[in-house]
Amino acid sequence: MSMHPSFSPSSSPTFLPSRRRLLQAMGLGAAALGLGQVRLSRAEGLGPRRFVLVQLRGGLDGLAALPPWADPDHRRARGPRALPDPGHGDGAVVDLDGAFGLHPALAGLLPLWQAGQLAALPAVGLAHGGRSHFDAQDLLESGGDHKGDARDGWLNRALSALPEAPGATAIGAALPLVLRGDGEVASVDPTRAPAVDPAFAEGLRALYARDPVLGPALDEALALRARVAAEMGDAPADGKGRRGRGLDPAAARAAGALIGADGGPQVAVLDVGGWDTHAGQEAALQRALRGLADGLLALREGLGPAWGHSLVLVISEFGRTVGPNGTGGTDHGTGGLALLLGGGAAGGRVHGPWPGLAPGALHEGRDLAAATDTRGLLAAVARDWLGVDEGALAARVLPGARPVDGLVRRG
Amino acid sequence: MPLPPFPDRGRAWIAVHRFGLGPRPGEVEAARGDPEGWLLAQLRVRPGAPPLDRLPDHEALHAKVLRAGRAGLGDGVDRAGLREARRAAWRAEAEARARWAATTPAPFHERLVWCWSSRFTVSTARKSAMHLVGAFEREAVRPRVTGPLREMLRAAVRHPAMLLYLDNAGSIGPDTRAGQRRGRGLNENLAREVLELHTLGADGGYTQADVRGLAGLLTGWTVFGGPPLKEGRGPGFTFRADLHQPGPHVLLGARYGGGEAEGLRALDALAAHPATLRRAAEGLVMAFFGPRPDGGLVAAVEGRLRESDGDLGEAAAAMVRHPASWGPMAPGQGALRDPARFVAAAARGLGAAGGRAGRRGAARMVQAQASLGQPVFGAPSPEGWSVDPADWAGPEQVLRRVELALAIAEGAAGAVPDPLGWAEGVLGPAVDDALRAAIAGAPSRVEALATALASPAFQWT
Repeated sequence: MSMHPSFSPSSSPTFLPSRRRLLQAMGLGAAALGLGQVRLSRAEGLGPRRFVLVQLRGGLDGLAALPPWADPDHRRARGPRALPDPGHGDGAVVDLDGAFGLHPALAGLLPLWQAGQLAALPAVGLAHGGRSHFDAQDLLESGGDHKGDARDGWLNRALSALPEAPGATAIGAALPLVLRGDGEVASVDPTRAPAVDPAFAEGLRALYARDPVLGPALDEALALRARVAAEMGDAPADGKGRRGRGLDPAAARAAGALIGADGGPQVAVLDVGGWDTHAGQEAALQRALRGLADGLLALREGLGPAWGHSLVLVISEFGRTVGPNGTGGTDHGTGGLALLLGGGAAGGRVHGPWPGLAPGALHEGRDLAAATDTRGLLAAVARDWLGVDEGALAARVLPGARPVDGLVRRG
Repeated sequence: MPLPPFPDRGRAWIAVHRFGLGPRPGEVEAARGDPEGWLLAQLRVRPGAPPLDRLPDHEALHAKVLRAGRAGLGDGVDRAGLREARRAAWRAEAEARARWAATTPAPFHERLVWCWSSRFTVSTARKSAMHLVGAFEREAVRPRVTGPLREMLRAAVRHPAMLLYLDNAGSIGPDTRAGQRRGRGLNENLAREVLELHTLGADGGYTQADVRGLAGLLTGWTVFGGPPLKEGRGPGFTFRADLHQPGPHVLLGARYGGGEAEGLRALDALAAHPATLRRAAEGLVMAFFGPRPDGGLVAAVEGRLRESDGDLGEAAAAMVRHPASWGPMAPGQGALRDPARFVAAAARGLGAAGGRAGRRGAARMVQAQASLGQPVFGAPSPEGWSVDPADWAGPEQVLRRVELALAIAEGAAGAVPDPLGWAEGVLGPAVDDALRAAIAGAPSRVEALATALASPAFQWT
């Protein structure tokens, strides 16, 4: 029985059971575990609504992902790397509203825009984020205004503020800061092949039965994996974790299935790296953006009918410099892009003011200004989608933030 | 829910598991005659740490990284080279630390290093400090875990890695010429963390004005030349009077003048503050007993800290001498081994990372603890690593721990002909009938050993 991965996370390849064998194994496991008795749901805190947060770590170049192609300063400010205007060949910008367009690698998202299920905020930023990944990601996740304001995550605080806190899950082994705090949150990585032989797991469960901490955790992990394996059906298991660049479609699909189903967690957080494009940006972004689009579409697929009452927020800690640097990339900037997707997004439009790319409009002469406060966006999600009341919002969840109106649609 | 009785481990096993890092072969026997004395002896001598003592100091490390960043690119910075050099420096530190964890004859001393290193966190989360995180622990923390708290505080706050990690290196007095000319000013980050994390604690009774006061006192505490660092000159601590905000400064109602000595005086006052001593006592005890320790034990350690003018060695001795430290703990009580401790305990029990295979074993240990969410020197925030079992026992984390136990067992089972005998040697009386039956009934030697490694008895101390 060697169904487990090698000791070293970086060594490969690990032994991967065939899909069929995997499902058989998990089916057996699920039956043996008495899956029905495992308490997966906590409470129906959000009703039918679902929320997915996709955090793009490293600083997405929003001006490349959503080029403001009609801005009179765009072509000059971006330099030779500005994409061709819409209609000018294969690599051209895909127009959205006559002012903004999609990077061609994101073209797969166009039908969502047309269906009113994709909205963009082109100039979002933290008021005091600075240009350090470390500080800016901490603030994005804690929801604090200044460094050190908060040591737990805004999403955990938001969910904990609801009368019945819904279950939330991070896709991946570690719990990101945004979900840390007093509220109870599980982490799960649905793309990892179940590595523990069902019989071994069963023996261990008996041993863990007397352990009030590890016992329930192991039960829940085995049940979650069994469930995900079942939800994934015959989807190809590539066996790679989500650590690679881009949003792994298998992970996104499984995450969607996990939170789309009744009785499970209603909130998921996915982290995607690979956006810190200091060099060779064009090729790196092409890959990462295509992966992001594929992943978001896979997420929709996984959510199934729940997509209609889901809100997906895609956000990064900051944008990048307007002009190119000396190594074919861009450096850490200020204003960046956020996307809202799903039936809950007030889509088909661009939200928030556009500060423009005129030299005098740039932050410190080099960055797109942050015209919409990130905390205001997070507050809008907390208040208008998750249903946090104004009092709790101001007192604990995101004190001092002013929610941006009109971003979501609650049917 | 009342817990079923859990067998008393016996004092020797408590000493090696609860206070140590899990036994190496022969260690239980060494501790058996006088478990308390075995622990106290580790406080009296600073053990040499061969794999760590060979590493270069922070100035040499920094110079090396700078050279790598300059290589072959004329005026530009070779970012990839810089990244790789930083990473290589970190890897060497992490592996040496893992190897020492697997082999040290003074594991209680090592646990104290880990405890204080987490309290004074400097993390790879800040890439610019990545190559210095190990040097920080070796230079600022490790030599002082049995000395006065005030000396550790001074050393930690003045270390270049800390000054970079918490941004003090660029903090400038707003009323200095440089501050006025450049329109720059205070960076409160280090001052805030000193008050909140290193000394008084969030409820320690200080205000934003105190943060500003301490930040002002610490202006000009920087690394040579300030960032970016000049090649050929190490990033050693330097006090830049021209960047220092002139006094007076007010901290906790006391007035301070300007100058480096006044900053040190302020740190000493913070180190001696009753709130600091209480927090230090709690931090120390919680590192060994989890987030809800015995109140009497904390009070005893706190009392000893007050009597001894903040002597951390005396505090550790008071903890060892307290009767509550030796009570039995059932799974779910006390401390859950965090990933670093779990990996170290497995390596020690199996004799990995020693001898000729040592380097490779240490590299695997580093990878293994990262795969469980605790990369060496990689704490997510200045708060350091959590001591709360809940933070290490999420469903996915527990399952990964089980998977890791299987992977370790697969590599090691060949050298463990009798897994049950191994478990009884390592865990002693904690091997109860259920665990004995599970090990004996496992279908293979690999699964038998994995059962022992994954068992609750091996996770809780």
